Amino acid sequence: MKLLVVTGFLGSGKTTLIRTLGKECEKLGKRVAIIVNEAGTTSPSKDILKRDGLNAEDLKGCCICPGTAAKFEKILRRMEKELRPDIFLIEAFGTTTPNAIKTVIESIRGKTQQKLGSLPMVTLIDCSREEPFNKAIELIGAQVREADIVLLNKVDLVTDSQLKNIESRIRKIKPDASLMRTVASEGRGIDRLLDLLN
Amino acid sequence: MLEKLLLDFGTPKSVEPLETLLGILSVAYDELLETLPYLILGVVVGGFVAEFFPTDLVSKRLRKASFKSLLGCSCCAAFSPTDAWSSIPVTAGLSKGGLLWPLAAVFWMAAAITGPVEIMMTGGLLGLNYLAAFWISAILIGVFAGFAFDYFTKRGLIEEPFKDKARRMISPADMGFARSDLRLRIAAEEGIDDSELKNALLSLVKALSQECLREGAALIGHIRAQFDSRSGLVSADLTDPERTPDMQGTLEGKSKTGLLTVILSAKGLSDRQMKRITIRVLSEVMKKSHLRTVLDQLYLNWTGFRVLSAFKTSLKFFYMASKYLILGILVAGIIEVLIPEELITELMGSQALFLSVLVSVLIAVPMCGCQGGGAIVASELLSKGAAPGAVLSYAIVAPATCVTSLAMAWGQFGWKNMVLYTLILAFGGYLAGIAFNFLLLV
Repeated sequence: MKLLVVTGFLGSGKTTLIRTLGKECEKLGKRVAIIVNEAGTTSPSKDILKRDGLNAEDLKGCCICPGTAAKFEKILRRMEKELRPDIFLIEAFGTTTPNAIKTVIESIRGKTQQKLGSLPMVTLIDCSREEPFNKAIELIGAQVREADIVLLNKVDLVTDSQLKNIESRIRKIKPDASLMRTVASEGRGIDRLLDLLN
Repeated sequence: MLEKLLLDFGTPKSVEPLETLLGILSVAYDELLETLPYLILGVVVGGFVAEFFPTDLVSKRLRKASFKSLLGCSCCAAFSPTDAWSSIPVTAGLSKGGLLWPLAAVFWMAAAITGPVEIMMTGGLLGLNYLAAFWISAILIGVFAGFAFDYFTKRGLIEEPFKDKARRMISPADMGFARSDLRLRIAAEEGIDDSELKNALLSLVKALSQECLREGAALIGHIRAQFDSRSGLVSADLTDPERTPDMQGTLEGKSKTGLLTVILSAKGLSDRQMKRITIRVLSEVMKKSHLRTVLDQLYLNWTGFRVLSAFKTSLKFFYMASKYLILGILVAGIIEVLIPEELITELMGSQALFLSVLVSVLIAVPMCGCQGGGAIVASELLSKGAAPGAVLSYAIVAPATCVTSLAMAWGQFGWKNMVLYTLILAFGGYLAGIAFNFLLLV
């Protein structure tokens, strides 16, 4: 059972990426379970995913972090029992940083029926927005530093020079960052992730 | 063995198993009837406090648990008309409303000791000198509790209840992002088609971003307006105010009702500001788009929305506080039926200055002395020659550590906060008793 966590700043395209990955994996005959983490009391992302026939549950009103690991574990184990999925896709909310989720996943390792194989931690960057780099750099910096793969999303909305500028900003934060260019809404540039999942 | 031990001190009120059980259930039922009105009053007040608490003003003035702020909170609590039961949801409301947890805990502690009935009974049965000592002790124990809760909270030994878990992040970089989310069922009498809906959602997310920026948001995180109905799901997403929002999904035919979800996250505004903006903008856009809600008069004006939110919070508090209430009233019944009154007076009748106060506190903690019960036992002790400090300690500790209220506190704030509260109260009650003994007897 593989588990992929997608983090990224607010509006960077996490739900869209999860939806695309979920659909593609199901086309390949894999059973996919999705957990959407929402900070508030509503979960529109789950509604979107369910509309597409994907198996999605939400973890509302709290983060996936050590203090609330039990809630996450409960949902994960219930979905595992009901769906017997091959793949778990986890959507963190926009202000989460990957390290907290890594800690939670480590804490539940061994508690699932099937062996849990964690994949690299993914962070999405919305290349079409520069403003968060100026006004929320601490958060974006942490997300980039703590991620294993940085997906540069919405590359279709920017010019080459803008894209290079974003890449150089990310390299300043993490010089050895593994970068991938994607357009999640069209499923472009996600082949490596699909290979990892399948 | 317990029975033998108790018999050494006096005769239990009943020894027949069936009679004992019926006695316990009867006392538990009485406890429930006695507790419920205060619990209901407390949760309603707590819900409104949580919603209408002037968070911004208070958070500016009370940013840390200083002696001055703790003393101020403690004095307010000592004069508030709340008791051991109703102070719990009110404290929850203060904490949820944004008051620092050590300051809210001060309120909890001081208000639990100085319930209106306790004050009247203490003054009436024990006299004015006891009442003054009782009041001053409550205020000082409150201040002491504030420092203790502050110390334990800062070291992560206790958890701050109601602190938005989503905020208790992982990353300090998260600070500054506020969020508002709202879901309501809306209706269009003539039905709404795909293009009309998309126009409404577009206007909504654009207007929301403009309002957020106008009110001082430093950065728009994400705004989503989503309509979900049998005819389809349509959502509008805005991340960059300079760009046209992204639209997804289509509506097949006309839709008369559906669920509208509006999510707003931005940096530089408070949650409450964002909620107010959401309600105001949504109300305007819905009027223009000829949409309405089932409760639109209530929901789509700021005051009505807050009143509904307050009642929702009250229900949540009621659920949390009553989680362990059944356990609490059963334990109260067991104590009341199985522990003879002679045991208390026998153990506390001593004039020994230190020992009698210690015994008094140890007995007062599990006893149920709410609603004047503590003062009644304290006056009996006084008439039987107990040391004044022991009498005062009992009057302070017994009402505030009523088993039913401790059970409510467990449900509302978690067991660690409940245990800390009990220990502080026992220790504070002990010190107050010793001090009172020295003042009067030495």
